[in-house]
Amino acid sequence: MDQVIDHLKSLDTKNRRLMFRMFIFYLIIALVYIGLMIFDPGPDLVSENRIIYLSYILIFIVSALFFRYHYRKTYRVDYTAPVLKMLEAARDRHRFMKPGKVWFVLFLVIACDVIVTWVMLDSSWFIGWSLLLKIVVIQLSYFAIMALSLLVGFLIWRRKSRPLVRNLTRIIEELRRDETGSLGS
Amino acid sequence: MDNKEKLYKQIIEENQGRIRSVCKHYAGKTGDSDDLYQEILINIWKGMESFRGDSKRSTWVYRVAVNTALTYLNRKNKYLNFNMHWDDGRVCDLVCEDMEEKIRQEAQMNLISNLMNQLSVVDKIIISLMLEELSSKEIAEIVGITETNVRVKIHRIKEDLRSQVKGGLYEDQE
Repeated sequence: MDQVIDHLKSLDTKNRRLMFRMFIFYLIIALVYIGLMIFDPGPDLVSENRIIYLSYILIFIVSALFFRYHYRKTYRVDYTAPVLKMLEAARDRHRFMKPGKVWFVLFLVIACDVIVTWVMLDSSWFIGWSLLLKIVVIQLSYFAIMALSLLVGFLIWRRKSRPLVRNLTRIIEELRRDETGSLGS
Repeated sequence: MDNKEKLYKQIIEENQGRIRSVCKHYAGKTGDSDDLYQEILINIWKGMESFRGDSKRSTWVYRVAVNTALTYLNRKNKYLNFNMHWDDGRVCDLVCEDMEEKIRQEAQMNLISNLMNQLSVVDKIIISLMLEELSSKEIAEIVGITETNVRVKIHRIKEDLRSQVKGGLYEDQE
C-alpha cells in the first residue's frame, strides 16, 4: 500500500510540474514574439506587417490556450461521476463535431483566412493579376486546403472513434430506456 | 502522513473486498484483474478531492470501480461483448425461488452463467451490483439512473433469466 501511495504522490507532483512548465512555455513564447514584433528594428518591416504578424501570434496563443483548456476540461475522465454521466462525457469527447467548439474553430478559420488573404495580396506570385482574381484564387486555395483537412480529420475519426460513439450511444439509450417504465404484473 | 494519505488508506482498507469483487466480475482471476485493481486504486486517489460525502463512501468507491472497469474494457475493445465472472452461489439466489429449486438449479450453473453473459452491458453492470447485495437506491446512485428504473430493469432481467432457465431445463428433460 505504501508503495502505491508513493507512486500516486509522485504522479501528482509530475502533473503539477508539467502544468507549470507548459504555462511558462506559453508565456515565454508569447513574450519573445511580442518583443520581436514591437522592437525588431528591421527596415523592411513596416507597421502594417507588424500588425499582421502580431495577429498571427495572438491567434496561435489564443488557440493554444483554448485547446489546452478544453483538453484539460474534457479529456480528464471523471471516474467519480455516475456511470451514465461518465459514458455521456466519453461520447461527447469522441464526437466529431463538438457543439461548443464549432463556432470557435470557425472563427479561427475565418480569422486566419483574413490574415492569409491580406499577406498574400502583396505576394510576387500574383504580379499583374487583378485584385478580384487574386482574392478568388486565394480563397479557393485556402478553403480547398481547409476542406481537405476536414475530410482527412473525418476519415480518421470515422475509423477510430465512430464505432465507439455508436457503442456508447447504445449503452446510454439502454440505460435510459426503462426510465418511465413500471414493474408490470 | 498527510490527511489525504490517511483518508486514502482508510477508504482502501474499508473497501478492499468490494474493489476486488468488481475486478473479479469484470476481469476474472487473471493478471488483468490485478491491473484493473491498480487502476481503480489510482482513480480513487485522483478522485478523492471530488468526494463530498453526499453518498456513502462504499457507493462512491463502487462508482469509481465500475467506471474504471468500463474504461478498461473499452481499451481492450470489449465494451459491448465481455464475459463477467459470476459467483455461482449468488447467481443461484437470483433465479431460484425456493430451496428445492435451488438445489436442482445448482447443476444448471453453467447454463445460468452463460445466459447472464449474454445479457447487455447495462444488465451485466446492474446484476453484478445486485449480486454485491447493494440496494436499488445504491445501484441508482452508482449508475446515475432512477431507483424505479433500476427496479424495472432488475425485475425484467430476473424474469428473462427465469424463463430462459426454465426453457433450458425443459429442453434438457425432453
